[in-house]
Amino acid sequence: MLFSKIKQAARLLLATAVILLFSQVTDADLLDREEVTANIVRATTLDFSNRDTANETGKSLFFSVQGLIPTGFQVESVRIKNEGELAVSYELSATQTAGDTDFCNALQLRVMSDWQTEYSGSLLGLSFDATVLEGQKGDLVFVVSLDDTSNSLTNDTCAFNIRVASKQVAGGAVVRFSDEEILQNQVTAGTWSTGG
Amino acid sequence: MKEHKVIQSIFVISFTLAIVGYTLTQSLFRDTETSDTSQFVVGTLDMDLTARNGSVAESISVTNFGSPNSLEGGKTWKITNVGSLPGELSMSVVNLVNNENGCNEPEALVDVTCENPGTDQGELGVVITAKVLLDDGVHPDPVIVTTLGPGSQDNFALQWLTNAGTVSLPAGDSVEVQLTWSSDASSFENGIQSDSIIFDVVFDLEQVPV
Repeated sequence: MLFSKIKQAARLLLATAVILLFSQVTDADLLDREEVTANIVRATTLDFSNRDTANETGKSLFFSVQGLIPTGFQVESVRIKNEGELAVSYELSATQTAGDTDFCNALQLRVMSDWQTEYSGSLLGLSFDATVLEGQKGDLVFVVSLDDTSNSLTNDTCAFNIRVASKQVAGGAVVRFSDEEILQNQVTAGTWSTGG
Repeated sequence: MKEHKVIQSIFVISFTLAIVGYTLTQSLFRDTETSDTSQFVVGTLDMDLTARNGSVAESISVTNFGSPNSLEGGKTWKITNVGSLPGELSMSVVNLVNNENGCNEPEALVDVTCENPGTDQGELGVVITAKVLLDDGVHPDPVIVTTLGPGSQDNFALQWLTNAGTVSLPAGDSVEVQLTWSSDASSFENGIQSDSIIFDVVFDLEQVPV
């Protein structure tokens, strides 16, 4: 009985030895390892926000004018704050969202930066570019006015958005990151009569 | 009884002859030499990892991916076998992590995973193509081409094995390994903002089996 067990153990030992020999698991090869650790690739950021110029709270509601009459005007301001790591080149544009098109076309807009007039013309023709560097902010003052005295404009309404959008090409290079903020506006004309 | 005595006599005679024979045939002159300078020396397997110009090897560090002129780059490492034994070189990437690093407003509009760090929630790795080139004169094309997205680290070791095979590095020889990254500008938008990938590059030099 004992002899049989010894024979069995010997066979097992022999088989294991043969397997290890051919698999080279017990090879004591030398190995050297070098590592280049903590490689990192991180994407940058592009982000800006519209802020109230008084207290830097978020701002999305802009002009809300009731009873605008010819020669009348209203003033609003906004602070464009760069919250990302890239400089933001942005452009302004205005689009009508509701109301009377003739009245929207009659509205005039002036945009000032550092108290310098950067745009002066029709509301819907707004076109203005600027850049806010990383960590910086830019203040814009808007003046909406009505010069047209046509009676047909009385009591009309114009709802429009002023879109502040980062440009897709800045300095000749394509910018894949983008951001845009909307300022919502509504202007309602008052009543007036022109002589005649 | 008589037979016993004969056998006994034969044994005695044989024993006596053996003693006598051994004594008489023993060589009386003897000389001994000792080779006391012989030694066994174990070979060494050692590699040196440097930058291409021999300076300290640097890690890849890109922190402004997505800004102009940041969509491609590379790093070249020089591996020298400074041991006395030939070795076989292999390369792999380990500990690859795609971090989300939270979301700013533009990213949050298009990304629903915004944890910080958000391990493997990041989308940056999938828009980056990494290539590994070997200047051993045998492999003109990249031996590894893969993205760096989550789970792609195994591609490095597998493609090295498949495309580079056994890269022998005799004692004293060097080989340069270049890891490049690139991305098509049209392949990403706000979804990768602030995302990052972190990984370790591993070079193994194993003794050539005897």
